[in-house]
Amino acid sequence: MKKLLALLLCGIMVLGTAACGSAEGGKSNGETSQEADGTGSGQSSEGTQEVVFWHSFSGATEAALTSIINEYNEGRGKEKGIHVELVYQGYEGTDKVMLAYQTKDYENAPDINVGLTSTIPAVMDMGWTVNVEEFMNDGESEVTKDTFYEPLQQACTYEGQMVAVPFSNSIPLLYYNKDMLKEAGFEKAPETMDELTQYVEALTVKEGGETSRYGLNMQVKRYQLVEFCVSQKDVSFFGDNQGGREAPMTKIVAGEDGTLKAFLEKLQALLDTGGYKYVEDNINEEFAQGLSAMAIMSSSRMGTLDELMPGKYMTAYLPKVNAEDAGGAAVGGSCLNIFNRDNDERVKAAWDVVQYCVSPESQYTFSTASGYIPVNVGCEELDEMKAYYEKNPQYKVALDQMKDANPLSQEPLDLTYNEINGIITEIMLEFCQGNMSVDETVQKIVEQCNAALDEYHSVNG
Amino acid sequence: MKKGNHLFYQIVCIVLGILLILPVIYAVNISFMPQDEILTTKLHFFPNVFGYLENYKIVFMHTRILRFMWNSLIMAGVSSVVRVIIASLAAFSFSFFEYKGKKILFALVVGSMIIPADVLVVQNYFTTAELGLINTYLGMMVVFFISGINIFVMRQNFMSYSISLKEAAQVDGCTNFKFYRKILMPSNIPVITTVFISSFVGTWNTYLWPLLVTNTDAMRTAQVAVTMLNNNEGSNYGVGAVMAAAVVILVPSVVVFLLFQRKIVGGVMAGAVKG
Repeated sequence: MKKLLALLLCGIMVLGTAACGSAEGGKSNGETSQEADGTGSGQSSEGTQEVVFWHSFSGATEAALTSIINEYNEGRGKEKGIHVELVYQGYEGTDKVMLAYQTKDYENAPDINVGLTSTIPAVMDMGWTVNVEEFMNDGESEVTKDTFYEPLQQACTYEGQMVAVPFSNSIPLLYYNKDMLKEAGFEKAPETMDELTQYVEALTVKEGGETSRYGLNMQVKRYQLVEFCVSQKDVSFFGDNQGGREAPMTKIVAGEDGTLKAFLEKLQALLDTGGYKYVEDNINEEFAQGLSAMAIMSSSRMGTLDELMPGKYMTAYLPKVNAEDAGGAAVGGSCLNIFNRDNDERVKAAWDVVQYCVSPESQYTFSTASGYIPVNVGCEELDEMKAYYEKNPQYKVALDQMKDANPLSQEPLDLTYNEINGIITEIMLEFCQGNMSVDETVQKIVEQCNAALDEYHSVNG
Repeated sequence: MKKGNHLFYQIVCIVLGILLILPVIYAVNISFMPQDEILTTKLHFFPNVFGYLENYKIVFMHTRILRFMWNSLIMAGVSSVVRVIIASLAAFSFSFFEYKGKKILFALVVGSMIIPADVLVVQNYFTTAELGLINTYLGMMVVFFISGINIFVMRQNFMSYSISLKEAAQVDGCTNFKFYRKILMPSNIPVITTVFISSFVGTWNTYLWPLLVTNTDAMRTAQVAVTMLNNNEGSNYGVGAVMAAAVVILVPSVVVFLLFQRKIVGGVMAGAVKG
């Protein structure tokens, strides 16, 4: 027993020593930053300006971002005396930035963070977030508003200013199995929800009362519901104040303008076919396995589907709720936010890094690895991008859909994103299970979302 | 126990054991399957060919899993030992001494068990940042050093310990700390082992706190490696790679359990007090 205890204690002592050693090593390895010189300036002894870049990407997307940053560090960064430290933070990155801000922990915050566009109001509420429009208006800047497509400019606009930089953006698409549609005698993808219902009826396969192939798979959560609402008419908004872009959103308007009801009625027709799977289990894999003939998902899933079913699928625009709708689908995804940690030199360096990341060449690397839409208008003019689109037309559909959409067709900046997503997911599930009528569903979604917004405003002034 | 009852008991235990271990075995099997074998509509429990190692290659090539596991090992190992020491000392005080405010202090310890860890995250982060412990192992471990439930478990165990043994030791000139070190701890190995294993596994599996207080990739823990491989929009290493990472990081927990599980049932107080 004594031996075991002695052994254990020895082991722990070694680990403890390693803990202290590595912790200190960790600091100096960072070479970076605050700890390195103790001033918080982020300048190393050679005078290199350090920039900390937090992201949430993994897999091929992370590899693409790493290669862009490595290129920067070796080339332009070296010339300008800037070095970027890329740090994976998972989806908690924005929460961590807020936590650091609340606790005034400037030393352990990033200079650049990849955050969802829907979090822009909360991020801009923090005093240290830089309004990038000021940089873009500077005559010397290589990146201006016009660098980006109009829908993307609008996606990053809050209270009339383009406050963040578009970076990893996607758009919902209808994915369809080419062979299955051909077998059913369809030459092209459905363009409206009425057509979609006909397609679903024709594509659904039932064997002995069991559905062995669904015509369509899509679970309606906040993302899907919002997309179908804002794409209606010439332009529609999900919330007031242009969906929270002109001023903070205070209520849902999709109920009073009829867009929510119109979508639910079409969805009811889809449900009545019995061939629409309204919950998502493994939507990518099920679609790849032929368990569903069509699926509505974000364009950023294309990279995954290329691996699962190369060449067997094609994409199309999100079906219109009404044939006369001209709004088009809204872009979603993430943007780059810059923070000023009481050091203007760092901010300037961070802006240089951001400009490099959204250059046409960097966007080619990033977009082709991930399936995200290239944000720079110059990217589609590159010869290699043209060749890529010719070989992979499904990616071009995403870009074209975004360009064809009304720039004002946008996801709302709904302040209580997670709560509203929870409310919509739960109520839509009830609706799809047949427990609520269209009118009841509209009323419940509007009431509960408005209550969540009211609570937010009462707490936050 | 009657023979029939005994047999029934054995069968129930075996069935329960199989039910519990099946998902783990299935996860191990999936880690050896290529993507097209995993994505079938029919149940496919065993891989067609054992020896498909691509998923493990992805794990080791695309994440710094060994470095992450080393970080986790330091965090879980050191914090578990510190937790055992602190919990046993606190429990020793609560069960063998009488002093003013003891009951209130113990009530506070028990009360701390009902506070969800999530509500303390902001305050804990603030304290850790103020102490300058962000990006250090100590910062990752410090919130795991004390656990109300461990103090409670040990105190309950010490309460059943014969007080006459302590009195006898004192008569022989044994000091309080010597009694704790030489008699109490060695004769309470089962509870120490239980606290150590539960603490190690619990800390090893923690994801959020270490992610919050570290800002460099070199300081990440093993659980982060799994999320880095998990299905992410725009890229996909597949379920097989995620399962392979889960299997790899499961190994230390299993080793700790196998090493110490014998001690849970093995160390009884038999013969400590005669007559």
